[in-house]
Amino acid sequence: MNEFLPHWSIGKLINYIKKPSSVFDINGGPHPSGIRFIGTVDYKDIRTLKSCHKEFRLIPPVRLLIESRFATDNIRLQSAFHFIYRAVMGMMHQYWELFLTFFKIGAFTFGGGYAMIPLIRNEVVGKKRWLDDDEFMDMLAIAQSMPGPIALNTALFVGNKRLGFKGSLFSGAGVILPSFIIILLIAIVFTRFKENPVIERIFKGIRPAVVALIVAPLLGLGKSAGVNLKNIWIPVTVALSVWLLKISPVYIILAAILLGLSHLFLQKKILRK
Amino acid sequence: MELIDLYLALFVSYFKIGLFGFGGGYAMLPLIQHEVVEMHQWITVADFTDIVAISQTTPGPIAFNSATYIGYTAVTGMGYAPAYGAVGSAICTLSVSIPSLIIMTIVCAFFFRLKNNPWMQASLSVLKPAIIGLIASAALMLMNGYNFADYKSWIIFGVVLAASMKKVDPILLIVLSGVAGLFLYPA
Repeated sequence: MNEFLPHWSIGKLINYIKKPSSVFDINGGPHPSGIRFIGTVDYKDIRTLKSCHKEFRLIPPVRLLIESRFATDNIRLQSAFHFIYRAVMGMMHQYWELFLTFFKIGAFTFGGGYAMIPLIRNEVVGKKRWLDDDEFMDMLAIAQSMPGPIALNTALFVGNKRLGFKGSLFSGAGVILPSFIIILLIAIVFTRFKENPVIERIFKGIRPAVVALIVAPLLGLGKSAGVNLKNIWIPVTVALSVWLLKISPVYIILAAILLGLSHLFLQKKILRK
Repeated sequence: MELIDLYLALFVSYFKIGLFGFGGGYAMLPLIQHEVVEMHQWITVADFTDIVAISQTTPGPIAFNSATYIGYTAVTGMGYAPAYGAVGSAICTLSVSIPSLIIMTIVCAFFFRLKNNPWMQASLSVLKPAIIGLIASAALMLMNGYNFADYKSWIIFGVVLAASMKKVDPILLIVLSGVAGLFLYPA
């Protein structure tokens, strides 16, 4: 039996489990010990081993550590370990995938919010097929009408739909971490060089541009929000009261929600009469 | 101010921002500005504009970017070590996402058909125009003496506004206006 042991590897085992057809017993029959065990390495194994590494390439340190720690001659220990490992990794893999997908979305979407939507759609609907198109549009409507950044809401929703509350923790962490790391580094560097005259000149040019970038999408956003001559007073009043009267936007938002709800309430009352 | 009080104030402020930050992105700016610049004065208006500029050129939502940056600068601005600043930005980032986490968990648990819910529609019918007003107020509040030093600023503003209307990439515009600032304002 020992002659088979050097070929034994966890990565290979996982691959065998993924492809049940390739599992076979020694000498083609059941092993006397009762444990189903694996045969020799051949060309196909090497190829599948590579794909296995690709699959788990982001956690090889963990895998190698575990493999080296638990290197043992005891075949019962080995098989027991392999089943535990497989179960744990099978579970972790989904969470890890969720985390990575949203890490990628968080790391490569500039401008936030609406700029992220096509990319999220491409990942979640196109590549991973976690949601279909209808579900995605439904989810987007929910994410946009709930408070908080749209990207985070989307991530939390997809995570929750896929793997429950724990899944939403992983996807949320994935979408938060890239910007956290990048901005923390920038904050550490930028606070030191802020007094630098060259930096100050550059930012003197950038500041008005930032305001222009906020103003530019207003017209398009207003159209898509359904602003017309009948309700143009709402944005005007809000803008003036926040700008000149310095009213906290919290009260504005609460008032807007209450106004909308009471409007519907009164409409229903009139209809009933 | 004690460090723990500062952390608590940051937590409360960003929890509020997360809870009332409807509309995402620019619509959250007046809320952030109200909390951070006007109420607590952790940073100046010019710093706030710089943060918006930085978050437009880096990936990720503005809410997170500002949370991380302000958490760091508010703590180090009080004279604490950078390590405490990093803790501050972690606190801000977490507290801005906790309301979303709670709300989305509830939404997923009950799975409201929010799209066709008349009450939801009714509140959104006023909230959506109000959000446009909030974005406009963010722009108006940033049009001040700090950000618009002289007529050259207004030229940059006009050019960038026109270019942005023509769908030029905002990151490119920010880089170009930085170069313009370097040339227009000689040392």
